[in-house]
Amino acid sequence: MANIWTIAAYELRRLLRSRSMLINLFLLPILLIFLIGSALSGVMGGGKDQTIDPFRVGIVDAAANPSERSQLIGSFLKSPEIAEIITPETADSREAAVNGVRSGEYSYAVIVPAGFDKDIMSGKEARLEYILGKNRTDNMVAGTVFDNFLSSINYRQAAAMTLGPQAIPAMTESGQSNPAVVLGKLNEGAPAYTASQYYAAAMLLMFLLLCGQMVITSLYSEKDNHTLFRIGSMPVKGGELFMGKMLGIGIVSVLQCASIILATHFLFGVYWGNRPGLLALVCLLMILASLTLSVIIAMFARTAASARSISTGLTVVMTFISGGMAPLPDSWVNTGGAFSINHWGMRGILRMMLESPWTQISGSITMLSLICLVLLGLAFFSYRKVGYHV
Amino acid sequence: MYNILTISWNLVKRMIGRRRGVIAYILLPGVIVSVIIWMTGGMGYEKATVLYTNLDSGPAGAHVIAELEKTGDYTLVEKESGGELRTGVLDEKGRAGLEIPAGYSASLLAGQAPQIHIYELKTSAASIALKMKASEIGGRLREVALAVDAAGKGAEAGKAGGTAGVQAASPSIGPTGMASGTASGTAAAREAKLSAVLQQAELHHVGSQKTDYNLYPRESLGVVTGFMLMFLMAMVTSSVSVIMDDRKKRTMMRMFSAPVRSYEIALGNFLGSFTVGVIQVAAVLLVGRYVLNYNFELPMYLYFLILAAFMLVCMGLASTVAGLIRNPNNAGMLNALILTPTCMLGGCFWPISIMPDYMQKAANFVPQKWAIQAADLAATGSGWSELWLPFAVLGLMAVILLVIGSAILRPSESAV
Repeated sequence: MANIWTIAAYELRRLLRSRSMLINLFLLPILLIFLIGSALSGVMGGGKDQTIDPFRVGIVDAAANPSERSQLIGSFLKSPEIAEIITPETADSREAAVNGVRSGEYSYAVIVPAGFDKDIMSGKEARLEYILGKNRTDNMVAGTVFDNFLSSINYRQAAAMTLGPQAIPAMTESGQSNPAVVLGKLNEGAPAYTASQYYAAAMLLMFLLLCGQMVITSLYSEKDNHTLFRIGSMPVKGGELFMGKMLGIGIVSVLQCASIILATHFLFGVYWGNRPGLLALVCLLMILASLTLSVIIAMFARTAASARSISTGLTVVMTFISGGMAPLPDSWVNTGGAFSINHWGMRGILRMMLESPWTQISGSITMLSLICLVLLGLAFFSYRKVGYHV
Repeated sequence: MYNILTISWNLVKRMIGRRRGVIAYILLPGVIVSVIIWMTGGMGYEKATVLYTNLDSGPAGAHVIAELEKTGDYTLVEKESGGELRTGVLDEKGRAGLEIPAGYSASLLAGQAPQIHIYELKTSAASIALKMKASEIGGRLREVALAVDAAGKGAEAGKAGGTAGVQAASPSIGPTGMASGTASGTAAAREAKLSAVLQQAELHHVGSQKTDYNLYPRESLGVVTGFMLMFLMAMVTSSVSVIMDDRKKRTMMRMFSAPVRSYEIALGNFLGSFTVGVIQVAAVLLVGRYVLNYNFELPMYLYFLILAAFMLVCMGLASTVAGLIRNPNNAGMLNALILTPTCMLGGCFWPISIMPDYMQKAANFVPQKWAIQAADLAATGSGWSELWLPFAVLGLMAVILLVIGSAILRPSESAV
């Protein structure tokens, strides 16, 4: 027993002394969460609009002479809020506009049919033609701007046709105080959930999986530095050495996990739920899974480099298929994603953040424990089979 | 020069000189990357699943759903209750959830401003678009409700006779006052009116049609390029570990005892791993194009050039890292940790345009951004008059990093 503690203490000292290890363990996770949080902050907060440089839109009015040109479109394009987004430019014909879009002169083009206003007034069909340009974002913005305008006209026309023209003046763009759509709370009682919580949890799980790398490094460095011989000459059993290493690395991982949770909580205000005990349990299970997984890899890989690349690859792939990196097709998350360890950890932590009842959390914890049991068993048998010697 | 070539040739031989090397460094990455490309490339076309529950019994709620359905961008799945909807969103059964509150139509007509609720687990392009679309429809519905209100007033005022002008003109009459003043029969009448207006609006007499000449890059191209860059960067790690091995086994010291200079060793390693990288890129592209039959939507040679230029920067980065780190055990970890932040910043996982301004500026320092930009430009058929800029930036980055890398390699020092 004393041997285990000695080895664990040595492992701890070794890890905490290395400066690059410290940066990797404690600084980088927080940096990553900060990066994601601020990269998506515009989207998450929904607050500040970004400044968009106005881009040029070719406008073609097919009316025969200038006096018949659409008044509606003309006054719409002159309004100041539109001028901030697009710069309208009159093109002579449809061909000219298409050529302009192709050459990049215009980012977008809109063709107004002849008699557009008259058709609207008389309740007939009236359609603008859009020509999509070279930039995906500009296309989206211009399409939204004109579609909003058209939809407003569409509802007015509909109101005029069914209620009579006197109803139209009432249809002002209502400057009502509250927006028409709000982000709802996923769970009553819990503090408002934000998407940054999702990414904080995803990153935490990724780093917990990465801590297995330390096991690989440690196991192989004893071999490569020929210190395994020396340890072998001492009265230390193989199992003790192994346990000691796991214990030391496990303690560092727990420290890392705690630092990530505390730092994100106090620096970025990420809410981790009201069940610290369960959160700790999920994190411990994740660490156990990660450690045992790396032991299995280390048992079968030939060199440290290949073991490390297998474990990095597995971590990235598992984070990816559990949807922690980029949005995946919806069908994937529940089928392919279920094969990753992250998926179950993610489910548990998200529900804790939302303060869901225990019945909703227990499933993912049971699943995690099962995964840990299986991995532990595999690690044990592979250790018995292959062993850790030079 | 000769020394550089010798060193680089030996590195190439060591990495892919044997059958195992060819499988590990060329075939396997090629297959893995192209499978991932094929997977992510295919998903660009999939509709986002949106769960919804419509607790409203009036016409407005149904109208919102019908309009969303009409956009053709979403697969709408109905849930019975709000609770079920939230559970569905939590279980990631859909990208987002949309709840129309009970009595939505009635409270619209009463002049209140009811709100549609949207639930999401994480922000995605689809959920942003859904939010925009729903809030647009919601805003229009409020306008229509005002019009119905005004029409009702007008009719009533007509009956009342002389006071009509006064009543219609005075905005001080609150809608609640109106509601309480009118009998329940008129509430039904208003709902019928609202329903008539919405039915008319659903015909979309005024609308637009899009003419698409396929001038812009597909969304899937950005995703594919992003993942491609990420995996290319990860593959560079393997050649760094070879360089690190040299230092650890003191091969580098031996090399240095021969009449070669430090920069020659750096350049040789660099050139060698670049050669391997170029072969890897070619393998990935060829497998993707001819085995999986994936259409990259831009000329293969241009894509190859872009990826090769990016590879060059990664090599520079890798050699700098390899020079910086004396303990080879940290190399893999640090590489992984350079890789993820730069990929995020460079727009591999999400479009750069959704990030705040200062982050977009920061992205200019990341090679991924320029590679993605070059791919986008090339896909829209831009010529070298526009393409030179990203290539020049990538080239400059590579040169700077290589200079730093060779300056700090110091082959005479041993590993820690």
